Order: sequence, then structure tokens, then C-alpha cells
Amino acid sequence: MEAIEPVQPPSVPSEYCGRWIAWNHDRTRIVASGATLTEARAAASQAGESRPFLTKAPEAHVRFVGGLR
Amino acid sequence: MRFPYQHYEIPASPVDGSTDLYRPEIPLHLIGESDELFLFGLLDTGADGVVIGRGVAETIGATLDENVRWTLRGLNSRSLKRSLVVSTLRSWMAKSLQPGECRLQS
Repeated sequence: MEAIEPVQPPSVPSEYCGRWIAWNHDRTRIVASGATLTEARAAASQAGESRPFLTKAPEAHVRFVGGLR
Repeated sequence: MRFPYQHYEIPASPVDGSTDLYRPEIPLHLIGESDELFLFGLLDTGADGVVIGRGVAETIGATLDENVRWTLRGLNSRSLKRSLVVSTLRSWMAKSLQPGECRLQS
């Protein structure tokens, strides 16, 4: 079976830190953003994307960490 | 299972000074009673379970049972009791949109 390399999606610029972002359905570009999921989704619709992929970009000064029990 | 991590540009991290953040995010297709969403979820091998936010649950028309409450605990050991039951979520499925990406089905 031929190995297929996954495609690296575009980077998310720091201007989106802490914001909900909407990708086009092919996940090749960011089409909109908003302070909330609802806002981002509505902005994506206005931009012509009816099935956006939504995610929240990391807060500028917040990091996930692991810890020892 | 192979999938690309999502790269975020960030202000310099207090942990290591890096301005690059990579997160293992996988595509999810949440289908509720009244709506559906395409989201990216964090693949966290250290988590015992999976949760979605109330806003997401309400958007797709999932029903929350306020009588069922669970305790969630994070790094600082602070416990939160939250209503987690999503009783009418019809399916939770991550679809592989490109060859080489992960595929999960419930």
C-alpha cells in the first residue's frame, strides 16, 4: 500500500490568539474569526463558507502543560 | 494513524521562550438534534474522557441533563461540578478528510 503523507495545514497567525477561527471546509485558509463560536460561524457564512471548520486559537499567554502526580 | 499537528504563531512562551506552538488537533463532525458543526478537537492522550463546551452542545441542539453532575479536575486540583450528560447527541464522528489523517467513529 502506498504511503500517503498528510498535508500540513497553514499556520495560524498570532493575531488570532484567543479567537474562534473559521477555516474553509478544505482547511486551506482561514475565512473568518470571531470572539465566540457563533460569531465566527456567522462571519464564515457571510464570507461564503457554509461548512466551516471551527476551532479556538490558543490564548496569547496561556499554555497547556502536563504535571506529575 | 498519521496526522499533521496544527501550527500556531504565539507570543514568546514563558515556559521555553518559543513563538511556535504545535497542537495535535483532529477534525470532528458533531451532529446534534438540530444542527451540526465541523470542529477541530485536541487529541489529548492524558485525558480520561472527552467533553465539549456548553456552547457547542447548545448550538447543535444537544440536551443537557442538569440532574447529572460530574467532577472534573485539572492541573491545580480545583474541582468543578458540571452537567455533562448530552443525552440526544446522535453521533460523534471524526471524518478523515484527507488520506493519512485519523479516522475515528463512535
